[in-house]
Amino acid sequence: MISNLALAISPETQSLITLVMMALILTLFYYAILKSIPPSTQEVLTTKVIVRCINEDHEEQRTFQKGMYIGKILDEKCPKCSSSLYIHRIYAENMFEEKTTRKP
Amino acid sequence: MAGLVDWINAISQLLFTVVFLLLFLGFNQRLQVFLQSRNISAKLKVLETYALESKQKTIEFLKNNGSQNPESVFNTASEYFVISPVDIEPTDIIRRLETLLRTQETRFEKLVEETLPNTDKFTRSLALTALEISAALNQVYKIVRHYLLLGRKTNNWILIMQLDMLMPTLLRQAKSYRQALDVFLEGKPIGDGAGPLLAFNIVKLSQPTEEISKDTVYYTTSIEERTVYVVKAKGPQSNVGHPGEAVEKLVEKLISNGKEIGLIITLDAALKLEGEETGSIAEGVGAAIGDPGPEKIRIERIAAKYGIPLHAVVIKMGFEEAILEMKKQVVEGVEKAMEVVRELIRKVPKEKAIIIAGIGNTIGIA
Repeated sequence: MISNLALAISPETQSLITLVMMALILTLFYYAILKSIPPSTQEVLTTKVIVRCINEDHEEQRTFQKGMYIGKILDEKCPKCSSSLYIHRIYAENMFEEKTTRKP
Repeated sequence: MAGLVDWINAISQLLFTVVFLLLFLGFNQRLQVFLQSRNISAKLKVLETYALESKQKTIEFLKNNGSQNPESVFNTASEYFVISPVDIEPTDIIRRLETLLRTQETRFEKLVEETLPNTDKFTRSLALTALEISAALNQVYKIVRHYLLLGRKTNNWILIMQLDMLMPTLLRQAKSYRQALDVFLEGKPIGDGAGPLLAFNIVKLSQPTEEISKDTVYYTTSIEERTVYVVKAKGPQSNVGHPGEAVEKLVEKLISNGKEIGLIITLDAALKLEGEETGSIAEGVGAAIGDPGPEKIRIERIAAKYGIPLHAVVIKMGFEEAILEMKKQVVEGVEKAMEVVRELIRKVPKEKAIIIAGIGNTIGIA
């Protein structure tokens, strides 16, 4: 049946079909390469500062400012016991991952 | 239509013959060299941008802090080199290496001190680190450029191919260094500060007992009813101190005072393998310290001299995480590591003293 159909198509049309199929295969190949490259991820970090009372009965979170360091005793007093406050932790937390597509 | 088919057939046969002949003439390699060197050139531009940006930032930082000759200081630092000691005669190589490293350290410190005479130690430490990062980026850029030009000049496709394959890793590391510059200039704690952070967690806000070696202090405290001596670099400036020398001096001092030492623990950040979790911890034996050798050997030698068990606890993280701002997972890892440290301490008889050394850059940690 298929051989009969092939015989019915003229050689010119066969050549054109071959060209179209080659173009299609190349396009699919390129698309497969593009898909195989994983998108690179960019972390979006935010710096958190944890301030704690020296008696450890109060803790709060702040944003980082230049001059802050872990173990720095602040001028402010604890709202609960009026003791000194110090910087307990400074760390970066990942908010979300931004996906960026990579060029092949 | 038949004429068109004939033409297509003739052209495709001619193309096939030409490509077949070119393959024997090495055209495929030349094409590969062309494509790969073009790829390297594009990535080299990115490396150049990193090097230039860091140079600009460093010079700006020096200028803002009162430097009169920031460009000259930058040029001296970025072209500075250390000649490795002779290794075919290994006798005393560690002492010779230490002399060279200390000379370099002093030279850089003097350079910064002279250009920033009216600044505090913290600012000077930031300037020093900024110069080191910029110098590293400048070196990477120059070395990649050298191999690219050499590969093109000699038409060495193996060299070009190797360089092309190395480029993604080099670019990733260079990007981390570039980002690290901003983190350091802001004075934030970095991942490598996991060891000093654990040391801080033990001693909290207490004052150091003594500055036992340059930029390195020790604290005396008590954990699980045992006397514990905690060694760390002096913070919050960007500084790794001399923990090896400090542990050595401390052991000698305690033993001469009639104390018995039951354990030395080194705490450090360690590079994780791909697939491992950031902040995971591991316990082992030996000195966990990533210096070129002089500091590590001092800890090993002093432990061997007095037969003191030498344990190591590491907090794992990636290369980028070690030089960029400390992540929450690392902080959590430090808390978990404390439990391992306590467990090790409990195994030591109560009358024996324990030394804990928090190794790493203490920027942003008092």
